[in-house]
Amino acid sequence: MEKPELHNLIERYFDGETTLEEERLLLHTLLGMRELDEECASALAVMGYARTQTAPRNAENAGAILKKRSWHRYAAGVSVAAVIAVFSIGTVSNLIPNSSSPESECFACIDGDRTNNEEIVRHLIASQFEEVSQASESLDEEVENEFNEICNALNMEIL
Amino acid sequence: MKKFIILAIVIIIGCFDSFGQEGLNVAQFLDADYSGQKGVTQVSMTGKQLEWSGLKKYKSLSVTDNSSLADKINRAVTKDGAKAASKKVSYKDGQLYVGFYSLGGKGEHRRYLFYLNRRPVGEEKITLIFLEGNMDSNSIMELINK
Repeated sequence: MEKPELHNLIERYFDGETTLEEERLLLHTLLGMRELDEECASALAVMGYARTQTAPRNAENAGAILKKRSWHRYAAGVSVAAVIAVFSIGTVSNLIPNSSSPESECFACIDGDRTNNEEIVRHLIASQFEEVSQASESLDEEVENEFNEICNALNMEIL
Repeated sequence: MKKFIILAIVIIIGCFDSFGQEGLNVAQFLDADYSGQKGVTQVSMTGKQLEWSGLKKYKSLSVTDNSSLADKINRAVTKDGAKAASKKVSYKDGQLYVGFYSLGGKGEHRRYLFYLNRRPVGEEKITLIFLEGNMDSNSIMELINK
């Protein structure tokens, strides 16, 4: 494309009068140019192909864009595969019993002394359950007392 | 592309969140090694030896006369409790006194947390219990009240 014709097309592009076909032709021509004058460079920038200083100035850079795009597609593919893999591992480990924990573990550490004696461990568990049970009872009593207090207060008001 | 990456991160976080006690603030205390540390009683029972209870995992920690560690555990419990599916808590003098938390999970990964803080009644002691197993909260309470 001759320079005057190209500049005319750029001018029409900036006026919003070009067709899609003409814009494609303009882009193709600009990407294929070895040297860009100011008007051509700004047209290329406006067309969204010169976001950084490494904007394509010739056909080789156009090739680089294509490579970049295919890399993005490749990265997206790898991401999809990674997500599927992680999701599968999560699902499988949830299905297989004890897959995320050791087969069996039993120990207690009392005041810094470690023991693997199962009886001692079971005794400790029983005593801790008893503690929780007592706390649970006192909590239930507390809730019941508060309910009673509220009921009494309401009855008083009604009377 | 960006939307896809965000979606991928959300899915990955979701997957990891469903694993055992990972993701809980109290996990770092329950899994720590307290060998040689006075005033700490740590209990851990998992697998076959716990079959009698119907649980898959039992971990507990009792801390006596160690206010620094007790404070840290208290903060972790409060954080985990805020995310609990259901809870039963009691406060005394502005302090968390008793807390029963159902932390959600599916199947054998249902998780429960019990916290007893004796400090509001003048005793420098806290007890933290983590339970995991395919049991609903009623069965857990039955087991505890046996």
